[in-house]
Amino acid sequence: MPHDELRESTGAYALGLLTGEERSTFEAHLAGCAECQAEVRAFGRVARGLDHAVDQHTPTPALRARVLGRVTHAGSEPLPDTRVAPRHSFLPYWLAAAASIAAIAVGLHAASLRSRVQRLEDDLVVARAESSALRQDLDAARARSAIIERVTYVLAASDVKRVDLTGQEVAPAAAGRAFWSPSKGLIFSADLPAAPDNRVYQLWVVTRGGPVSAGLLAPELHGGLALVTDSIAAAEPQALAVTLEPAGGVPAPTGPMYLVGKL
Amino acid sequence: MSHVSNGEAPGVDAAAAEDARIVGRMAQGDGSALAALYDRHARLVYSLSRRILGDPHDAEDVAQEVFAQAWAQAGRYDARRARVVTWLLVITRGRAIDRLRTRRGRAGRPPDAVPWDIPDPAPGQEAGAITAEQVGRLRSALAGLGDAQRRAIELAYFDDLSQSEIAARLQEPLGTIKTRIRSGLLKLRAALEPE
Repeated sequence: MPHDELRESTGAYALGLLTGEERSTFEAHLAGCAECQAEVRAFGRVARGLDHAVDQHTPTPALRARVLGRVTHAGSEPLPDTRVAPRHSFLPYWLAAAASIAAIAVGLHAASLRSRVQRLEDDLVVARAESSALRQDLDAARARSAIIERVTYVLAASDVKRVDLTGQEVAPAAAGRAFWSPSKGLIFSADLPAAPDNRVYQLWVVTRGGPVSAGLLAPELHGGLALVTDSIAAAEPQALAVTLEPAGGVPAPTGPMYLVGKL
Repeated sequence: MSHVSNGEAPGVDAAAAEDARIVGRMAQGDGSALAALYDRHARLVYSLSRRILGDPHDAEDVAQEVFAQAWAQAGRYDARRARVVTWLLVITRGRAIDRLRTRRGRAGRPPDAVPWDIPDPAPGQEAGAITAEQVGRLRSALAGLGDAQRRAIELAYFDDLSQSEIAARLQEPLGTIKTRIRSGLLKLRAALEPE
């Protein structure tokens, strides 16, 4: 196609309107034509100008909070939302008592968990910004940032999954949420009744071969109970569960089950 | 950064240099730099997103994705290719159009589409930043285009219709639409950069 005809398309090209063969034909010509390049450049500025010239509106303050709260995520995608679908999979006998395992968010508690996780993420932003100022305060800052780095690490992992845990018969209003990356670790936050003296909540990964301890829950900064841990070696994981055990924890679950969430 | 000077106020390029420094800090993981970038450009990003999508909630979702992408890809930003504002607006445009297409049930772009899909004329050739004064002239020129030309350009550029689709919608021949778009763009170009 001759230059005069192709030149008619410089504007359309600059606006991103040419596609397929029309586009490749034009680009082949453009590569060798200074005049068309100059036109495309000029129309490109018109396009940028149009982007600036739209009616301006101010977003809500909530957007700012969302943007800055997401600083921890390495990817450009939002966290994967793994809704747990009911599955017919084998469960060990001691979970059979938890008849209906379904990941149904527990109203207010789910909302408060979300805000707790959000606060954890906000803490991370603050901690990173303040870390240079806090360089003097080594012990406290190190302990906190180790946890916070683990949180970032897990939240940013490409294999991270979210697991919602629901309260069982002993505590129907309890709820928990885990972000679990098999490669990077696990962070877990829960809303549970206060543990009695000499008792502690323990988190388990339920696998085909039996439950594996993930660790003991501890009080977190903003209330509730939490656990942050390295990657857990657990083959064929099926669910997460929380039981109430004697202080110090136990190698295998003995106590009543408070929370369960299927993976 | 080499560029063609348009005799604009030195303050404009100072802003671009500051933006580049901010993105540099973002690449180091500095969350306060992201806050600075947001405070400087959120309005532009959000407004473009809203123009394309219409719905303020969708527009905020896209704006959040844009800043998340900017954060994730700050290390890849190259000040020699384009100004930060241009970079942000190209990402915004890409994501907003993607969402528009998803909403309409059309395939979006491939997930890792490079944000420079609006043709990049030549490296190092981006001229001065768009000034407020230029935006004002452009708005006047847009308002001064005939309805036919303005509609065609807006449908193409903000509503993601192809020239054929515009022709079908306005019940005009394709050639007419192409000519209208070109004529309109020539007038806008003249308003933006008086020869």
